[in-house]
Amino acid sequence: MGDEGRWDRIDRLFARALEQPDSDRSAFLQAACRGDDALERTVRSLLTAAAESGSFWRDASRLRSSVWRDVRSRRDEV
Amino acid sequence: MTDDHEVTHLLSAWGRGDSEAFDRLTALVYDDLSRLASRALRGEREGHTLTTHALVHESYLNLVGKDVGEWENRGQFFALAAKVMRRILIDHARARRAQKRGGGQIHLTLGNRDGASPPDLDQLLDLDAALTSLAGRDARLGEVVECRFFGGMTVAETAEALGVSQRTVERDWTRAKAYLYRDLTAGTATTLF
Repeated sequence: MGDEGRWDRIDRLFARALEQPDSDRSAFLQAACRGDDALERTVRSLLTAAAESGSFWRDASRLRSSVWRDVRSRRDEV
Repeated sequence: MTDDHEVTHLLSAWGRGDSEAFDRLTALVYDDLSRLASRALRGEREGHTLTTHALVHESYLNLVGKDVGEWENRGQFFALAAKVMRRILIDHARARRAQKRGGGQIHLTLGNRDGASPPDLDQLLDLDAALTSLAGRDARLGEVVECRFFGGMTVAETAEALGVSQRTVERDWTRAKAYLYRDLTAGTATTLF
């Protein structure tokens, strides 16, 4: 658990970074973080997470669907 | 057992912050969605894929009615139904896992319909726990995930349910997915919430 203010800062910055075109994100983050390397690293890792989370969420949807099918077909047993 | 007016009144009371109304509504919607889900099993809707999304719509018609005058409660109902869907799925996953651990004679046929391997129930329960943590940081991000993921709702429906713009839903959903993905795939040392 980080502190409340830190989380808000990360979230705000992450939201703003997502609004920037890909090519401008690096410069945007450098300017916005003003030497706070830890903050910059965290937001960069979130941008990476946003970019690569697609297959994770596709799998999660399949998982939800199969549990849902099971809810429908096996309610009486559980 | 219930009538349209009761649900409408409860929705209004919940909107005013009445937590008893919320509990009562949750119980009503839980029962209705469970009943609709199991009815599918008895073949009344052969050939239909009864998604969570379809059931939420059907339950709305059941409990609130077709009265166009009630449309202002629709979003609120959907927000609640998404929470209930989450609870139904998680309750079920927990019961299943307990059954599995109990080592009973029950054959897990989860996901076997198309020859797929059984779903990882722990993964769904982990996601649920991560979502609870995220919602502790930002309640609306949590609600967006409930609507989009557990309720299977579209961006437009989620926006209606939460009373925000579609743009806001899209932005929240993108961030929430990244946070949960990072939380569930990175070690606890780097957890953000």
